[in-house]
Amino acid sequence: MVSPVTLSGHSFRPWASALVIGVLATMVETQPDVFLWEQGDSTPVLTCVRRALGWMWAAYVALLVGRTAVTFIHRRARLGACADPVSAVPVAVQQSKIAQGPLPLSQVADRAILITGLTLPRFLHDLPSGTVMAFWLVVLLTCGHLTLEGVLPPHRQRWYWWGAALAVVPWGIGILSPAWPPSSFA
Amino acid sequence: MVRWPLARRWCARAAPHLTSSVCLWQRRWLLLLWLLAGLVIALQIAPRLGHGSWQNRTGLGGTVLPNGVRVHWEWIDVAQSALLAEGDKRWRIRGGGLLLTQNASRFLPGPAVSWLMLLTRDPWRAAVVATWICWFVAVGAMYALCQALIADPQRGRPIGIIAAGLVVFSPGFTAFANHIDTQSFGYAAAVVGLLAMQRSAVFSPDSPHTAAPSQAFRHLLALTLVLFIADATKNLGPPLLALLWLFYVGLDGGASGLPLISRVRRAAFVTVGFVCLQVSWWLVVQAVALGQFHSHNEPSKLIADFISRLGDWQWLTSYAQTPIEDISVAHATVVIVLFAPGLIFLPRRVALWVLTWFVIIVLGIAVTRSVPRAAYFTYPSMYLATAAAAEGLGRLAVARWKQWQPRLARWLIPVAVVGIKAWVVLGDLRGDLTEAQRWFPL
Repeated sequence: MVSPVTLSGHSFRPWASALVIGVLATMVETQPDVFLWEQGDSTPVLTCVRRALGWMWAAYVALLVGRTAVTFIHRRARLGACADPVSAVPVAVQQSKIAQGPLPLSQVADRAILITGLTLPRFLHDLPSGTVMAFWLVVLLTCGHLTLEGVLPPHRQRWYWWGAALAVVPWGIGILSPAWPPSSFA
Repeated sequence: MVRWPLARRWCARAAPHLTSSVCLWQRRWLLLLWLLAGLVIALQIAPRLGHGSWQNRTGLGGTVLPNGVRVHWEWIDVAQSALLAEGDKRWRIRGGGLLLTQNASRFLPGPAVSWLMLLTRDPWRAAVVATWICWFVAVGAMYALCQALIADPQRGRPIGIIAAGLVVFSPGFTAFANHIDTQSFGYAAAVVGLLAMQRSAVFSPDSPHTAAPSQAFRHLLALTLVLFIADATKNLGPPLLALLWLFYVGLDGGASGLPLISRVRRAAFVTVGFVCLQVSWWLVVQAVALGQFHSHNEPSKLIADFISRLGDWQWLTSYAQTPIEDISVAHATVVIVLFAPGLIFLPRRVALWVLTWFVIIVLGIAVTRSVPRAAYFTYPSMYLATAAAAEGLGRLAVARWKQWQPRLARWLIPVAVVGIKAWVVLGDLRGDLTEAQRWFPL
């Protein structure tokens, strides 16, 4: 979708930053539980991993959104209006890219992750619990794109991502979802 | 005559490279048949809504949901996956506070039902809609699979229509039509997985992708993801991978024109990718569930149990016929009778494909758990062979009775075959529960 933003001559990779942020945030959050470790209880270790997973996922999405926004603004200012705001690439370049072939896999994954990030509001109370659905949504959206790219022409493939976002948002907000009945009577 | 100008124009705009060959909108009859299939499926589901699933009707127990609908108690397995996906702590209710491994491995039906609840506002109604969608997808995929396997469109198309007609009157989907269960998802995923493998163009003959490594990589990745998703419905990954190795690398490998080493490398990519995705998934779910699992219906455990009993010769001889008995229960007699003749009518390569999938499923259920609902996973191969037999007999009828209308003579036998199957499957609507009791004996 975007090439890595260059900061002080170094390309910016969200995954490395997300890893660092996730570990640091987990350390801060877990500090009160440290005494349990000393008592030999293994549960806090798994709790720690769980928390790290949640923080890393949220940090990755936030950084990816930031990178996309920064790149979009920079490119827009430099090269003029863009046809596809997500790709942040001008029309002529997009058209030449269409002629070049399918969307690179890294960009497919980035788009899938950005759309999956729309589920974050539902899991703000417990970020790690959102990683289960995030995992599957990234897999499903990537698979869907790879399957459809053989059917839809390149200039129509953008619809897929808008359609996917439209499908994910209501579930991601969560307030629209009715609750399952209690299982206790089963 | 309706000419569908809008549909054609839309099709020409949306997919100009498809309009000349495979655009469905231009094939009016196919569209009408597809709509008819959707309608017939809906008409089959609707009258059964008030009766509960086959399991309930045969007295296998159940629970009454708050909306008054009676379902089999296993709905809480789907609910556990859905609640885990929603981040709802009530997922701990099902397994005494533990996540059942079965519900982690057959994960996707739960979130799918959860998502459909946005529209239906109720899990049971969402499951009914999901069953209809899965059934409809299976019908379309069955038709496409027949066309993909049989190169000659003069045979592939009618065989595809007959096989799709057999899926429309499917006892498997019917059995779980009113239930919140993973089974319908599994039945649809089986035929979609098989179609994806056949169409992946990675192992197919005359494929331009066999010469382009970057395109082949994308196709391999897509196939890996499809198999992984199919596995998350009803543990279908292993049988699909077995078909990949046995048929596309081994038995049919020569037809692709690829050297053996390339075929092995590509199948290995898919297999390793599948394993990596599985490991990643289990790491994520282990962390989220804090490692609190309970092994339940785990295929590896069931296989270990089977191996441990292999020394008991008496048990083995009595058990050996169980999978075959279950297949005879899962399929209508007309399908079983026409299976063997169908193999003769099919091209050699397709007959080999049919036998390979059939043997994989038979062996799979033999070493894990042999029940009719699992034996029904043979249906893509069974229906393909049955449809080939019906189509072949129809052609013979045309040759034999030349004075008849050829089209009528050709379609009389296929229509009779689908009609007999429909009569059997729709028996419960007439109050005859024989088929339901065969599937779910007390």
